[in-house]
Parts: sequence; C-alpha cells; structure tokens
Amino acid sequence: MIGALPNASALSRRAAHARARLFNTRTNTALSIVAIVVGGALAFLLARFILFEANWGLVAINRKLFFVGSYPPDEAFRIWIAVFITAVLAALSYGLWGGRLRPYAIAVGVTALLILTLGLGTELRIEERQYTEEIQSASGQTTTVSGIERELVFDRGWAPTWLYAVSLGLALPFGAPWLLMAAVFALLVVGAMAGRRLTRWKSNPILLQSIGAAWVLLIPVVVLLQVGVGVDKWESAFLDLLVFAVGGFFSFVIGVFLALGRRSPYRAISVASVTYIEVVRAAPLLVWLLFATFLEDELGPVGEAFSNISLTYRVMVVFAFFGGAYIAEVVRGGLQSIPRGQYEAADAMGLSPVEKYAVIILPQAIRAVVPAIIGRFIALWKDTALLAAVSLVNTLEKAKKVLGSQTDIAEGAFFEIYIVVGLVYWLVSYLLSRLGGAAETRLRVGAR
Amino acid sequence: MKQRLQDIWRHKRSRYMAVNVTVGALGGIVAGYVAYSIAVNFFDFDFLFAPYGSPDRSSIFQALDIEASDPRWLGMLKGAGNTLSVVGFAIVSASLLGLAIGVARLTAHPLMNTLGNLYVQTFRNLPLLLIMFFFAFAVFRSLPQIESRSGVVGVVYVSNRGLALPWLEAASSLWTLWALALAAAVALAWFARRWRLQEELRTGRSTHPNTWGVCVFLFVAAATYLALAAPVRVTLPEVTQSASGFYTYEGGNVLGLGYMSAFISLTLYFSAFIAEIVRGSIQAVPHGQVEAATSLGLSPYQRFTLIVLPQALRIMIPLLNNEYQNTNKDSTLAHAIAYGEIVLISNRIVNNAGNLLQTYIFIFLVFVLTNLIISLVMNSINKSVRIR
Repeated sequence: MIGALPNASALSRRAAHARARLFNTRTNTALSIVAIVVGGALAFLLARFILFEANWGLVAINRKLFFVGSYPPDEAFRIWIAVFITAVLAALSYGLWGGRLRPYAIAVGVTALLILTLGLGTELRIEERQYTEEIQSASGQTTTVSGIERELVFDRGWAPTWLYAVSLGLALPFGAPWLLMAAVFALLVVGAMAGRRLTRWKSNPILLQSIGAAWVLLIPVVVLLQVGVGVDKWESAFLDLLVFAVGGFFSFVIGVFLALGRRSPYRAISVASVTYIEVVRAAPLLVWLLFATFLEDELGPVGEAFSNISLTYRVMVVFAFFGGAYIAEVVRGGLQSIPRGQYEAADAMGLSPVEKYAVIILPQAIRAVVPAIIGRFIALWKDTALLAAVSLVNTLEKAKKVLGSQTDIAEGAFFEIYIVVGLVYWLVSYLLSRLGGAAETRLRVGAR
Repeated sequence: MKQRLQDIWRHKRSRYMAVNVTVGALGGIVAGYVAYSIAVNFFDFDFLFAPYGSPDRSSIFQALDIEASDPRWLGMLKGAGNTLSVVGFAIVSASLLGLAIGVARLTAHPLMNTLGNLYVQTFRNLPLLLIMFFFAFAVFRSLPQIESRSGVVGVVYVSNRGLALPWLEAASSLWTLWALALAAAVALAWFARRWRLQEELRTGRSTHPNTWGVCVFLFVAAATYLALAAPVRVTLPEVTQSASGFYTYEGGNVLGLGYMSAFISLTLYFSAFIAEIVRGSIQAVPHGQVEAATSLGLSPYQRFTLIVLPQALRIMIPLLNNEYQNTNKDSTLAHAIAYGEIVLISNRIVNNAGNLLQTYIFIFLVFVLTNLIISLVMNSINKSVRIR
C-alpha cells in the first residue's frame, strides 16, 4: 500500500483515491460484482419498464392536467406571458453570468427538436364504446349490464417510446401551441447571446441593477397576472411554482430581517426574533400548514379574519414565515462571517445604521451564504409537495386524482404517473442545486 | 414635544429603553392575545377522556395499537409512540445506509462512485411525500395478494397487506426479568471490553476487546435465558383462511403498508442527506492523517476506524443532529399515507371534538421534547468524541 509519495499538485487527486482504498484493496472485485449486479438489475428493470411496459399514452393525454390543471384555456395567455418573461430573464442572466454558450445552445436546440417534433404522426385519443355484457349470478339468473367503455388509443408515430420517456416531450408535444413553444426556445437562445454581448458593460451598475430589479419584479408581475383568473384555478405544477416563488421571495425578506433582529443590540428585538425562530423551527411544516387550515374557530377575531383568506394565500403566508425562520439562521451565519473591521470601517465613515447594513454588511453577508440560501429554496420547493396534505390540488394531488378518476384507462398506471410527477419535482430541484453549485464557484465562497 | 422625542432618541440609554419597552409591549400584546384565546377554551380537557372511537392498527407493536374504546389522551400518547417507533428505526437504518453510500462515494472504485452519486442525486432532489406516495400507492399496491403466500414459506411473507415477520412473544411472565438481564449483559460486555482494551494498552499485545465484549454479552444472555426457563419464544407468521373465506396473517408480526412505506421512504430520503454529510466530513479530515497512519503500518480498516472516522465524527455529529431532528419532524408526512402517527391521531380527534389548540399544543410539545432528546443524545456523543 505504501507507494511513492505523490507530489503536491497531484496530492488532492490522489487523496480521494488513497482514502477510497481504505476499504477495497482486497475486496475490489467483490465490490465490482456487487455494483454490476445491483446497477445492472436496476437498469434492466427500469429500461424494461420504460421501453416495453409503461403506458406513456396515459401521461401524454393528461399532460395539461399535470402542468396547469383545469386552468381556463381562454386565459392561457397569462401563463404564456409569464413563461416568456421568465425565459428572457433567465437567458439574459445566463449570458451575463458568463455561462458557456455552445453547450447551452445545443441543449436548448436538442430539447426544442425533441419537444417540437415528437408529436409528429402521433395519434392519441380516447375511444368510447357502448358495451353490453351478460352476467350470470350464483343463483343462475342472468342480468344484462351495459355501459360505456373507454379505451386509450396511442399510436406513437415515428418516435420510439423511450424518446418520450427521456425528454420532457413526454407530456408537452401533443397539441401544445407550436409557435409559442418555438418562440420560447428561440428566446432562450437569443437572450443568452444578447446577455453575452452585454458582458461588455458588465461593470455598469445600472445594467446589473435593472436585471436584478427585473427578477425581483417578476414574482409580483406573475402573481398579479394570475390574480385575474381566480385563486381556485391555480393547480398542479403551476400552483407549486407560484407557492414556491411567492413563499421563497417573502421568506428571504423575512429571513434577512429576522437575522438582523437576532443580532440587534436592542434586547427586546433580539429576544423576540430568537423566540420566533425557535418556535417556528420546533414544529414540522405540516403542523403549521394544518394549523393554518383548521384555524377558523380558534384565536378569536384574528383567526376568523385569517381563515376568510383563500387557503392558497394562507399556505403562501405559512411558507413565507416558515421558510423565513430557516433562512434567518443561514443569513445569521453569513453575518457572523463578516469581520469586525467592516462594521468599524462603516462606522468610521459616518454611515447611518441603515446605510451600514444595506451597503456594507448585508451584501457581503448574503454573498457568503448564497449556496446555503439556494439549499433552503430547494427544501422549500420540495415542501410544496405538502400542499397535497392540506387538500390543495398540487402536482402530487393531481396525480392521485387522475389515478382515482380515470380508473378505466389509468388502471394500475401508478408507476408511470408517479415517475412523471417525480420528474417534475426532481428537475426543478436539480436545476436549483446546479445553480447553487455554480454560485459557489462563481462567487468563490470559501476562498475568501 | 418633538424636541423631547429627539432628545430621547439621541440619548443611548433612553433610546434602548424606549425601543425595548415598545417592542416588549407589542410582543406582550401578541403573547397575551394567544394566551387569552387559548385560555378561553384551553382549560376544557373533558374531551380527552371520551373514547377515541375508531380502532387504528397500523402500529408495529401490539401495545401501541389503538382500540376504539381507548380514551383520546391514550390514543394521542400511542400516536406519539407510533411516531417514535418509525423515527427510531429510520434514524438507525438511514445512518447505516448513509454511511455505506457516503463511503462508496469516496472510493476510487468508479462503479461504486457512480452508483452512490446517482442514489444521492435521485433521493435528495425528490420530495419526501412523493417517495412515500410512490411506495404506498405504486410499489406496495403491486405486490402479490396475501393468498399467494409469497415470501419464504413459514418465515416471512410479503403481500399488498404488508410484511409478516417472525417476532418475539412472551412465554412466561419472567420476560421482564430477562429484559433487565439483557440490559445488565450490555453493561457487563461494555466493562469487559474496556478492561481488555486497558490490558491491550498496558501490554501492547492484541487482546481482542470487541470479541470479548460480544462473547460476554452472548454468554450472559444465554445463561439467563436458560436460567429463567426460556421466558420468550419466537412466533412465526402463518397465512390462514377463516370460515368466511377471508385470509389473514396469524402469529409473527405484520408490518403494515403505512409503516413500511414511511420507514422505507424516511430511510431512503435521509440516507441521501446523511451520505453527503459523511462524505463531506471524511473529506475534511486532513490527508496527512491518512498518510501518517499508513506510514505507521496500519491496515486500511484500522486507518478508517482508528484515525479517519473518529476525526470525521467531530464534524459529522452536529450535522447529523440536525438531520435526525429533520427525520423526526418529517415523519409527520406519514399521516398522508394513513400511518397512525401523532398528527393523524390528533387530526381525527380535532375532527370529532374540535379542540384544535389543545391537541396541536400537544403535538408541538411532543416534537420539542423528542428533538430535545435527540439533541441531548447527540451532544453527549459529541462530548465523548471531542479532542481531549
């Protein structure tokens, strides 16, 4: 085991290797066999299910339910506007951020190609048939039963099934407005290129500030767009995203104020902040959600007024205040990492307390904990699954409803439905975690 | 007047006083309002003594099964017991699995590495509730029917009703004595191990302390088992058909779908987080430590257990503490798959009796208490591994 001492540059690379061999010097072969058997079996089962067994047509025909639920088709422009704004902003920021353009363009192009062409030559419809059947009971009597039998007809056209499974096109291609989809993809590419052009003026504070302001304004704009439709029309993945966006935004604001409050020199403020943070963190989110659901008869007039608000808004409030308590702890860590000298320098320059925190302390503190804050956002996104537990129709609840209501065509299709719903949740949190990783390297957190 | 206020603001002590009094008064109003609302109906505890109403047999221990005639307070306590019985086992299994996967992610073995990475990325980015639904509604529903007798015949059965396992059953009333004897055996084994370890340090020769400990435990356990004339026995599950044609399990212990789904989901979900903690903490041990251990001629196993793990534990334990508390809190999601844990039981009581605040304050106290216990245990472990 004692080999030649590695030189310093290769040390870190060798370190992982050397540590790894702590266990498997003699058992390397055994490990390989185990890995191949376990991995191979899983891959085989998954592949067999995706390629041959799964009823993807069921997912495809319910695609709209999973994404926007029973959103009125006449009002679809509200969602498209939100999608367009988000796409442009995301692409611009990606370009400005200095993301690599070529792999990005290829990824967007391939996705676009898959999504826009998968529907070609596909036939998907539900056939209804009248049927009569004679049933012989135990006593020898025959009764005639008749009804309507539904069958899902899914002719996949040119594309093999696995293509549906590996792309998001699984749900999107059938009948989604082509031009609009194409426009979104075009905006994604053009926006990123424009963003790259703008890097020339990257030091221009007005540019960066306006992009930042646009992101901050995005959430109220999107929500105001949706308010016109009525809160009870928000369903499925769309509801999850709205609750996440609103809850995340306000939990950040609340979290920053709580973190500052916790370190406040005024004893009453710091005691109140600590009490709030600890009380909220002591109980599970589910308990707070259920509490907000059942509140009507309790807490007198305040409870009554609160329970008159629509449940969706109440849940958003719970998310904001619950997430705020956790983000406060993260931001506190950031505040603690700021050297005393920064405070003293700000004081020496005669800045007022508000200026000191807004201009000197908070930007540095928050910058230091951006990855951890994104981690909290990931947790918050995953927590939106809990809306199902308080009888709001989110993606998870919609899946249950589809399985429960379309028993004729969805017979036993539990795996397909839950895999697709899982993919929706997984994709967003995976992208967020990649964003966190990128932020970590980009902001060189820990290097300072 | 304005001048006066400005003076108060400029003067540091008076400013502190003013802010503290104002905020304190506001906080007092909020606290007072909550306290008043509670007091209005809080001191009505009669509802706790009414019968619970509907039986709930999703527990894994017979003692925790809720009967319809049980008073509500007992139902709530049993619900808390159900929470603990899933959280306790899930914490242990998630830690073991997380340790294995965390180490697998550190190995140079590329296949193990990839599998570990896939595992962590999959389960860390999925909502726990979805994993629970997946197991409860997709996986366990598609298991075979009870009458097919799938599993190892006579020992373990798997069906869409749950998992039937062999279990222990009291054969005589002396089993409590034997349980005490087992606790004593653990203590004796601990002392034996420590004594051998001191011998090893004194003489410098290997004295097999771990083997000694295990042997002492087994010997004491077997001797007391025989001395008390076999106070417990194993019952094996059986699939039986009643006169009316219904199939049921008899004997053994049946782990219901709710429990199994909750347990497996909590294990999978939190093992992914624990794996990341394990990986990060082991990576944080300076590599010079491993090199020093290597140059001392320690075996890979010794290097890991004697040098790396003790140092990694110091970083790991505060993070694990946090993760265990999350496991405890997130076990509440099992109420959505009809496992009779505390929130499910309390919600049934709230639906029937309507005493929301009392029951929810009880839930709150249960979680404060259990998290405190987890915290105390982890802190004491932390103390035992600190640098002395």
